Amino acid sequence: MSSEIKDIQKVPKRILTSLLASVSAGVVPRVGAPYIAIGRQDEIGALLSDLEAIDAGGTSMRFIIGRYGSGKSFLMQLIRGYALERDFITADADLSPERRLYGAGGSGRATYRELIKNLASRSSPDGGALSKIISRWIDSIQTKLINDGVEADSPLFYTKLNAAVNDKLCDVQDLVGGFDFARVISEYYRAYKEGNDEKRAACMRWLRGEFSGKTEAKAALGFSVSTVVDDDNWYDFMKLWAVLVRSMGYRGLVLFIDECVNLYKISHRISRENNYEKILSMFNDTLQGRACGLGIIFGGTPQFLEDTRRGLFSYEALRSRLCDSRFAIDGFKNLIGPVIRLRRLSDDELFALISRVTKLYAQNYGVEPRISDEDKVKFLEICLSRAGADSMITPREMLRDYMTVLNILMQNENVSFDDVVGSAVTLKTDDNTEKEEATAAEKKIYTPQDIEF
Amino acid sequence: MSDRSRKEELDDFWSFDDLIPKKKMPSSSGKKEYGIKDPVEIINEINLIDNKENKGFSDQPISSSLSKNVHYVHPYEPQKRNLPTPLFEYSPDNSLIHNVKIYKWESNYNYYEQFRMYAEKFFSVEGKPCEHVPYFSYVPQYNQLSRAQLEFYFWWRTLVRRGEYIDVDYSYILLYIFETINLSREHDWKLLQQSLFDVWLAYRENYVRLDKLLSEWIFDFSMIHRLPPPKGRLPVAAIDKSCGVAEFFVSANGTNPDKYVSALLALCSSYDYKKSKFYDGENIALYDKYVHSALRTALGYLSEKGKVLGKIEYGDSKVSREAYVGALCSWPAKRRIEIEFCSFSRSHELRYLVGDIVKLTENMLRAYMGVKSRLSVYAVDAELTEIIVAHLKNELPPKVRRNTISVAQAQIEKKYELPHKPLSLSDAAKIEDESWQTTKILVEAFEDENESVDEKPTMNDYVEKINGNQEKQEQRQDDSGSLATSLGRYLNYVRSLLQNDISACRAEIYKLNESEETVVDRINEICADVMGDIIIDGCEGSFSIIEDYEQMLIEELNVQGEK
Repeated sequence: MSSEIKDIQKVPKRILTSLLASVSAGVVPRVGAPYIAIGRQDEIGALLSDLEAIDAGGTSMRFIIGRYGSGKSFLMQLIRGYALERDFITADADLSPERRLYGAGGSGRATYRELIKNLASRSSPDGGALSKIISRWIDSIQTKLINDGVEADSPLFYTKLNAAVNDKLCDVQDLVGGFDFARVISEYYRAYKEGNDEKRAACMRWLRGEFSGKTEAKAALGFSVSTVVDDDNWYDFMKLWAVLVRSMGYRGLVLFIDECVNLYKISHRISRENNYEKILSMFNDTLQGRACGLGIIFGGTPQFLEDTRRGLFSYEALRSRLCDSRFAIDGFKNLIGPVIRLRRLSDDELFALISRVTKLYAQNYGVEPRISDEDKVKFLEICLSRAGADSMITPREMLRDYMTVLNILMQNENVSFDDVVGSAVTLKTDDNTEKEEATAAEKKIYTPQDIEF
Repeated sequence: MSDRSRKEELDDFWSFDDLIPKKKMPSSSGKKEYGIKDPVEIINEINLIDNKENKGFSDQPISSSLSKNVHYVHPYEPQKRNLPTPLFEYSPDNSLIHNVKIYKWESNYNYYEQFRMYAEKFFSVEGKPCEHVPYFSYVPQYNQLSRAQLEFYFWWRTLVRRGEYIDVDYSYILLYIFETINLSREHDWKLLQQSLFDVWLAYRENYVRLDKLLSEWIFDFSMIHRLPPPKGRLPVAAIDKSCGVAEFFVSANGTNPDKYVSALLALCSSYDYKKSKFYDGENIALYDKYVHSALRTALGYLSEKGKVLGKIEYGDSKVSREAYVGALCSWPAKRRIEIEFCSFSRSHELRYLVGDIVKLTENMLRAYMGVKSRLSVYAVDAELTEIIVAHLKNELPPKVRRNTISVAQAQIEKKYELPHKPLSLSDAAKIEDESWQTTKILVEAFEDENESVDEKPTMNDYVEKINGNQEKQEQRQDDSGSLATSLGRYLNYVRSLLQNDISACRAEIYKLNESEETVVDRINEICADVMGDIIIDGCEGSFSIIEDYEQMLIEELNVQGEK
């Protein structure tokens, strides 16, 4: 193995396997993304500093804007992984026609449910961490009481435990919907202690936003609630979660909302503006510091942001907040503002990416791929020579093809790089056929005409 | 006084007794009687008339003795009304107005006679230069003016006759108009009409109401004095749509269709192309040019024998109107005008034809612009459609394949473009080396106990920390070989899970006095620190070791036996 590999941390096998599988499939890897993070240092630095602000009790909101295949989702996964490592709680959701920020038909609540379903922590990076973080929180309170000298079996233990839980939930009660939220958490804990699985499940359903009305919630919970999660108030509940996770000991809550182009595609103007109004509300909350410990990152295309007829810039309040200053000149980077624009990876960066993937491939399979730097250059030239590649090339397509080449080379030892790449690209022409025949004759390769009996 | 004398003194006026209808006394039986009171003789047998002997009818007229008892309904004989005869009648040389009748005003009055006399008297007075004197009146008349006002009025009138139009009060203008329309002796009516028209054009911007008044009064003046429309470029907007005589101003000499186009579009079209949603930006010039052009072509086709729209047969409307409504008009000048004309507002055929010609043109323009939607066209026949389509195909400039990305969009896209730079292997290697630093930052979590609140670490800070902490990292890696040590009190649970011993797992959970989820959570955290990844997956009640790490954990934790 090359000496460079010794300098890096050895990639855990599960992560490496999952990473290469994602790259081969042409999808954004959910684990192991840092190992193929090429370039984007300034953007990553800006987002990491946002996490620091959230950790300090502040808020942040960013729009990561770039064309299809420019690396928006990849960058969001990178930051998500980093946030998880640093004891943040993350939640991510991809918007779709069924999941929006605002909608009368339950599409807002569907977004909330997706976020909560994908709630992740360091020890549950793949999502589904809701019950785990609550259980862990309750256990941590219990452990603290025991360490303070309160006997676990004594009646005083439960009294003190109740008081500690209520004390923690005081911060939440002051917020919109906080009272019911605190009540349900409290009932969840009581059901957990009593071993009442049915009630626990009902409380979990309420927290996940699975009740469509108060009557249904009351019937399941056994106590009345003044509100349930719906299309109008789901964002208020996310703010509650941000406060709660901080009181649980985490650094903050970071939301990743991708595929915002689906809002741009809403044909009904009023409906579209209602969604933009929701973004404006989130923007004002975060930038004015009214949502403690909450970070929101949106991913979208340039049309979603800058189309003055249907995009965010068609909504004047957002346009005035998000548009570039008149002093922002082309060629000067400005990553302090809420909008991070991603250009496609440069040719050098693409080459660096190919080299990195080659190394990881070698580490995973324990074999050095039979591909030189010249071969990599040739591969890159082939990819970039396609019509429109200068603006439309996406790393995922390129990596998918590259992984295919590596796989073929590994499984067919007699085949060289030129054989794999050249035969796929070279067009058969009469000239080429004649050349091939001439070359074959020179090499004394027998053709059917050569056979003699 | 006695009652009797009082009665005698009261006259019948106050006596209501005679006025009150006398009530009929009810019959003694109390039953109401209906129908005929006199008994009727019932005839049981009807003697038929013998037709042989009798003719059955008599051709003799009914005698007068019988007529007393027979009532006739006299047949209706319409009485001939005494219709007034027009003073004169004529057919103007106008393609839209076909017949004019001028009648005397029926009810006479004389309260403006003095004004009329003064109008004649002052007609030839020449004014002398003087200062402007303000004047206001709702119905201006000479007898309201002071000496100074009168002098100024004459001076202003002299200037107007010379073609000079200075700023003046509205009331002076009205006075001039009233003076002109009340003249009764022989004058140069054509000149007076032109003067009224020029005053209208000169002052219509300052006094918008002139559009409504003078459009009507000039028409009346022209009809009464048998004049064609005045010469001059009158904006179509000046002709109020509520004006009932717009047709007079539209049709000058009906040989040139050009003069009709703007007026027809403004006044006689069922479709206003300026309200189209595609009428904006650079399309405005396109619309204005080619709609006019197409309508001109259509009018040329529809004209016959020098008469615009001659091929169209549309019914005339007959309108009777009072001349000089709202003006100070003496009885000798007052008239009633009857006109037969092709009315824009009343002629639906023409209105829809013009509207559909405009729609057809817009459809062609939409095709040119690449818009797919089309307007429905009904009133244009196939021949005219072919002519208009052929004309527009010749006239429209060749379709330029527009770059679908507009300038604004190009500027947006520019923000996401990369400057072209040839591939450099050395730069690529440098980028990859630097990216390892990024990878390290993203993979490793730092202890931030030494960080101050005020210091916000930057990207460079992260890089420096990596270099500083690299030694600690290597040391940690050496220590982490003992995963068992790191797991601590959770080790037995992991071992039980590796052996798939559920009861042992439960026993360990009980010992740890924590929920299983919490235990798994803590184990995963420890392994993420040590190994960089979690080792347990699943949900409550069904946790398991991740397959990729089973063998490694068995070896490292010295778990005996296999699954």
